[in-house]
Amino acid sequence: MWSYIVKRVLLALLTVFIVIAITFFTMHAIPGGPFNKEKASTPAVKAVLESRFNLDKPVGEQFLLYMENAFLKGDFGISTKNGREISETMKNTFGISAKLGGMSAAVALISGTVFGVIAALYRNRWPDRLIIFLTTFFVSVPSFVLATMLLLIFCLKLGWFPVFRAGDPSYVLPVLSLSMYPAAYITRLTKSSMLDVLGEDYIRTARAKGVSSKSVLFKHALRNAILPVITYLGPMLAYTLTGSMVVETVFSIGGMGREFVQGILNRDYSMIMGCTVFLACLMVVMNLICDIVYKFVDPRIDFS
Amino acid sequence: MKSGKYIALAVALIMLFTLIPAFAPLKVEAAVDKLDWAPYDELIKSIKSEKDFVKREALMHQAEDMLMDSGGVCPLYYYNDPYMAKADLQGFYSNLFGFKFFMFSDYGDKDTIRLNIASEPDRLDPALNSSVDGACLAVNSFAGLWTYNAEGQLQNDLAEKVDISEDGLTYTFTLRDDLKWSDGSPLTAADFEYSWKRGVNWMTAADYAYMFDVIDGYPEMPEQPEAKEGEEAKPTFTEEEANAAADKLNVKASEDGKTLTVVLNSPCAYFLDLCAFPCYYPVQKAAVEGAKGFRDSDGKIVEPGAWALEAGFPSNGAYVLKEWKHKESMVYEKNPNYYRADEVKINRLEFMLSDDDSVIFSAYKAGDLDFIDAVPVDEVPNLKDKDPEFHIVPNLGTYFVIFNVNSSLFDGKTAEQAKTMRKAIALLIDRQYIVDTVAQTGQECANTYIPTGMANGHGGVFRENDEDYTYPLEDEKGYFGLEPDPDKAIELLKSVGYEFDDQGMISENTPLHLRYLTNKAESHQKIAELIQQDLATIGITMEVEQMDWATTLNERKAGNYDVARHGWVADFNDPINMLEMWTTDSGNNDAQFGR
Repeated sequence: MWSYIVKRVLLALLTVFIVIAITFFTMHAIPGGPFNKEKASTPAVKAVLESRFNLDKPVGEQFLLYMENAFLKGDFGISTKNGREISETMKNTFGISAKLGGMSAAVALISGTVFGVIAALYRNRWPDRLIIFLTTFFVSVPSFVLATMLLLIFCLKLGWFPVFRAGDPSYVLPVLSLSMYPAAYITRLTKSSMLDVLGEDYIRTARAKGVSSKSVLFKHALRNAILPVITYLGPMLAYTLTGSMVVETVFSIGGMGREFVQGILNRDYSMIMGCTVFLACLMVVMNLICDIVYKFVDPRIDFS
Repeated sequence: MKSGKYIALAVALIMLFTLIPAFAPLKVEAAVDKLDWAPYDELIKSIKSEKDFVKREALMHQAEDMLMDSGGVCPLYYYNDPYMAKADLQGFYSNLFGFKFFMFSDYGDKDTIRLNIASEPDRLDPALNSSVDGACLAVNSFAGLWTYNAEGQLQNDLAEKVDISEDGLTYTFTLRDDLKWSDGSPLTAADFEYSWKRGVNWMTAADYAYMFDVIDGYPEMPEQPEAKEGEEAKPTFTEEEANAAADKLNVKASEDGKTLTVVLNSPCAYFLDLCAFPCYYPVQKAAVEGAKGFRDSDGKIVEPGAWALEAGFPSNGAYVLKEWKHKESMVYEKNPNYYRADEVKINRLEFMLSDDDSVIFSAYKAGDLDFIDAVPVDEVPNLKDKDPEFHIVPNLGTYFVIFNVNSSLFDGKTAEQAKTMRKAIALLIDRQYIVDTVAQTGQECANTYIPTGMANGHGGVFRENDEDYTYPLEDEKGYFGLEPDPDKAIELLKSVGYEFDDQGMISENTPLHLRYLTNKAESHQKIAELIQQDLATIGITMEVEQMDWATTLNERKAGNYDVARHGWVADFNDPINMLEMWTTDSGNNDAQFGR
């Protein structure tokens, strides 16, 4: 098992490196730069800024300098746009996004499994049909529509939550809009795999042995039915934890999703790279953890 | 079967060979002669050194004439600025540049205003800020020698008075007594001297450093060694050299810190305007140079604005920043050390940081905001003239379209013919329709480049007919009629060799096709489409290219376009600000005049 993990970690490092390299060179290849402004600054100002951010050097050299600073010195530089340290910004924005995403993931996981099991047990009866209707709805509604709809209903019409409250934004609506899609998806996953498992021979055997139906459901069926959900959990966590630009824009939340998109639009090179490194590492680690958790949930899986 | 394959291969080869010439460099028929732009450059130079302000105005009219005659700049409308404010919020005001002053507001028994100006500001350091929303934050939290009052007029602020020498070159400001920073430490003329020298210092790298170029001793960039082929020039000065150069700026604080003496290059009609501009506001030396992150471990300056990146920095205006949740909210509280603190009734300003118009509008409608500076375009028809909380104030700026004077559109034409083509195209645009259906906030259609309301430098407004100057269209005070005039356009185009059929459509023998560059934004795109329709009425085809903002800027600056949208809001109230950007060497000369 250890050799498997070592191999996976090395592969992960290579993946991260390739992602960084591709982003770095693509970023420099697209037209426009961080210091091209509508009201042009003087040549002296532009020259100072470019030398401060090493932009006056050849791109290859810039790449080596970036790798050296980032991975040997742990220095991700400062934003070309607002001058703040990238590592500081990443820490703060990820903190916010992770809080929001963590809550959303928990909501999605719990409600998804519960409704999935209910749908499977009441197959083709009204609870199942209702759940199928709702999951289809939430899987297909894009998040910007959902977020705007929630804002319209709960803030404007009902007035339950403020659209803006200085220093203390309400997280209820953003969590709802972020969790609906994964919740619906998990419901469907749980339902179908639950149905598969319930039809297996060993469930019939367990029932025949006189095991209580509760025990059959939770100990024998659910434990096996949850495997596909765990596979989905990795990408889902990465998706919710890193924030969504749409939800953050609608609810004015200073998370990572917006930071990344605006970094690209502003050609804020250090911010783009900081986000890329962070997201690539997060994705890779999430997938790795998922694979390892697999092993514990299903001892039949063999790493060698 | 097999023979079929060979035939296909043969056909493919033949096609390939016939295509090769298409890839060979075409023989380009370049423009016959180039637009001679040296007279314009000369004119701008003489405006900048003209001592007689009446003569100076005449020269500026001459420059605008030249610019409009080139046809390179095609004005559409003058900007204005819609906003919404709750009915009982009184006493705030804005000026022509879009700066909004809230410190003397009165909101009944409430002492907090919740507002939205824009999304996260890039910079709060007044020297480094270059945006209008950043300037709004600056005017409420910093104070300079001069300011604007509720009537939009210039008024002394921290300066008690100014004495201007006979020749108009030396300004001696006397500061008020007992001025303080928000941390209680004394604020003197030395703070101004430091801040202005810091503003021009190359190491500070402020976008608005050039705003100081009217002051004697403004450091010009040292001669740089020739850049190698394909490489950009690198600065070759050290920090000490940059400091020494900045120190030559002719600004001097008196020993007692009461007076500040400034010597200008030549008389400047708008120097007090500049003194009211955020980059002329003082910043505290101890805070700036003591900030963590100002220098790196090797002692190199890495971030000159490090002191104002988070809440808690000292300022000298009506409010100080107490809390800043990035991209969410900012909370400003009253500064008890502000010299007019007893006139400030509102204790707290809470800013929502967002640029999503519909969310901002929802927040206003839900009662979570008291003031908003942006209104969704779709909502304007429901609000304008209907909702008493909806207001429109004029702005000093123009929305216009520029032509790349070196575009291949003008290949084979003389400079004069190219001018005629550009002017003909400008005659086709229905400006009123654009204002009514897209811009929608009752903007004034433009037939001059310098907007209505711009000062003339000697006490009047620029856009007027007087004994020294009359606009080509006297009654309309402009260069062309606002009604589209396709007949005139056809006549002009015929005179430069375009053929038209009986229906008044351009002939297939002489097609005219142009590319219009714009950044992705709903209103810009709609304006592009309307222009496209206007040109189509006589058969000119126009293709709209939409790109993201950074790419649009890049392409426009590099001259990779035929026609592009543009717009400019003046930095200060003088036509020179909008005229000098078109000199050959200006970094803003996107129309590529003289290049």
